[in-house]
Amino acid sequence: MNASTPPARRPSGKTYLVGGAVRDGLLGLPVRERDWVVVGATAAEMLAHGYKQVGRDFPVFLDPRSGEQHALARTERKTGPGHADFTCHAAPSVTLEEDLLRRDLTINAMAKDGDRLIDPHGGKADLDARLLRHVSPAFAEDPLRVFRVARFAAQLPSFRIADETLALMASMRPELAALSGERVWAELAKAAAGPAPARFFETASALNGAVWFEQLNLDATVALFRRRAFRNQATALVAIGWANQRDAIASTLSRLKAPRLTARAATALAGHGPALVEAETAPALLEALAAIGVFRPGPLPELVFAAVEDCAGESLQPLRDLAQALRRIRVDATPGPAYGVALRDARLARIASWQKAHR
Amino acid sequence: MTRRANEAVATYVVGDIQGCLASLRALLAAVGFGAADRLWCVGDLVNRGPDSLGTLRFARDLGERFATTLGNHDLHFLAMVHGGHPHRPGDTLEALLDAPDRDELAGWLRGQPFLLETEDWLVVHAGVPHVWNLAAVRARAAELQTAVRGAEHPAFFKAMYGNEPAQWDDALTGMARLRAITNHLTRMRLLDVAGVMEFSHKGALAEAPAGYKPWFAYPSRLPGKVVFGHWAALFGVAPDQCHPRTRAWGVDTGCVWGRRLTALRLDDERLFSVPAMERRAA
Ligand SMILES: [Mn+2]
Repeated sequence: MNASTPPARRPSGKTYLVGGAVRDGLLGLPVRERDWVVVGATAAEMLAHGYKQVGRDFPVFLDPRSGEQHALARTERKTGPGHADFTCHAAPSVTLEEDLLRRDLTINAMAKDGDRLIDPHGGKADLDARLLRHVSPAFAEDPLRVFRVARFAAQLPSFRIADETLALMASMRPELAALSGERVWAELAKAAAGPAPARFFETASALNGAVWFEQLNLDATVALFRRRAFRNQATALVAIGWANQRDAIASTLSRLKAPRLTARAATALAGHGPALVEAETAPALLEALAAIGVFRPGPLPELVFAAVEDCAGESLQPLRDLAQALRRIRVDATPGPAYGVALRDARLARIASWQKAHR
Repeated sequence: MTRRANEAVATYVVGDIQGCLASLRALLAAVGFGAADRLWCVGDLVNRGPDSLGTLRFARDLGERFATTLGNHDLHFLAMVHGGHPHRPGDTLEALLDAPDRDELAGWLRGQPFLLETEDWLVVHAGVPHVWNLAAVRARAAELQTAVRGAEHPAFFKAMYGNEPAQWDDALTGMARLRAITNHLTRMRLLDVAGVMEFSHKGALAEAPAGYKPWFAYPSRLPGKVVFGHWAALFGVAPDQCHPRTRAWGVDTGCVWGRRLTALRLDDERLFSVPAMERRAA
């Protein structure tokens, strides 16, 4: 991929590559998406050249040819307590340097004009020093940035959060409650897919739970993520349940508006994960298997099995096989309460013989 | 935030690479592998994956910053070069064997040890049997290294293969002794309480044959911590999965099987893991 090819047709004004693509390019990381800033153009010009406006409130456009995001250079000023309460000023007179000044971290506030690096805020020096440092005090105007920094700590684990940035993040605590749960969840989800998810929780812990995570046992969560690798983002997110109490994880994920399947799996893991690995009696194991949905259709049991395997570092294949065998059990009894009792007895008998062989 | 001072040199111990150079590059970029940092590997740099040749060249070009313990697949490659062993089904060593710098790379690999040490850590490919103490593992790794490096290495590589002896005995001599060391350091997974190894089981612990346990489930006689690879099916091992007197980290998370490549940073005992980049052959 050529990182510096602008679209074939573009409006007047100058286009610069900005943000994550510049940062990841310098770090040798794969560049997933490229964002551009256009200086010296108007929204009308962009539309006239076939760009499609993305949002109503921000001068951000999609290039219909590349699908890449092009934003007019803009400044922003905070007007309310939430993440979205901004007035945005975009005009052909806004300079690239002004646009870069509104960004969160110095390593994200660099631009490229072809091969030339434009770095008014010392991003390259902080990149070389492996430092996550805020660009300006305006960092504090967007509370979501607390969780963005925690996410970058997980994605860029060799980077340290600058002391003054961590202090600024701590001072933003009163603003955190006004964030939308989905936005915080989205940062956590990105962190879970990174090379060191533990660092998201370490950052939250350094901020006394950062409001959204204060019900969690962050020490136990950090310890789990420091000793285990997770096969994918889904099991890593569900794994949070392994280190936490059922009520704490249920309420935390509900406030974060986590996807339903993830929340159900994490809650099931908190309540029943240990029993799946070490239940000693047949009724206890049957209860755990029923609770993770083994007798209902859907992806829940497999997600829980996979997450328990990653957390405990143990294959649950014999338990999967048992679950399959239990699902196939039919009993010869008349429908009604007697059927339920007979089915339960047959399942318990099957589990008891499995436990004799496996535990 | 991190326990690692920014300027300090870090040592990363990466799991079995097996020719997955693209994943290795992705992992190093993700951890921010610095110009002074050290990369150690638990071995099995080559085979089964797509780019064994590139992996060896990349590792060699790191110079003093790189070291590996030798794994069974590394020995297999050397046995093809020096012992006349044939390509086996599933091997992906053709490009490496045909490379103009094959002999140079084989010579470099043959110079690698079977044991890497720091003050607190031992790195081995498969593990250290509970019946060995620190002096024993040092002495035996050195014995094997002498055989692999020395003038008689073709004889060693010709006779290297074989499951016997499957149990350590101090009285072993000659090729049987070298094979026993090889089997312990590069192939061991399960042992019985007397130290007899079981070689057929490569899968999960839940399906291990009765009477056998993984080497790390026995009380270790070593003073320090161990990093090992070789057992992809376990998807990593942490000290809490070991015997209380054994502190071992398993870092093979099955990259070559399409899972993840994982490294442990020794300085602060921190894991880093990225998904495998290689496209799996259909
Ligand atoms: Mn191996």
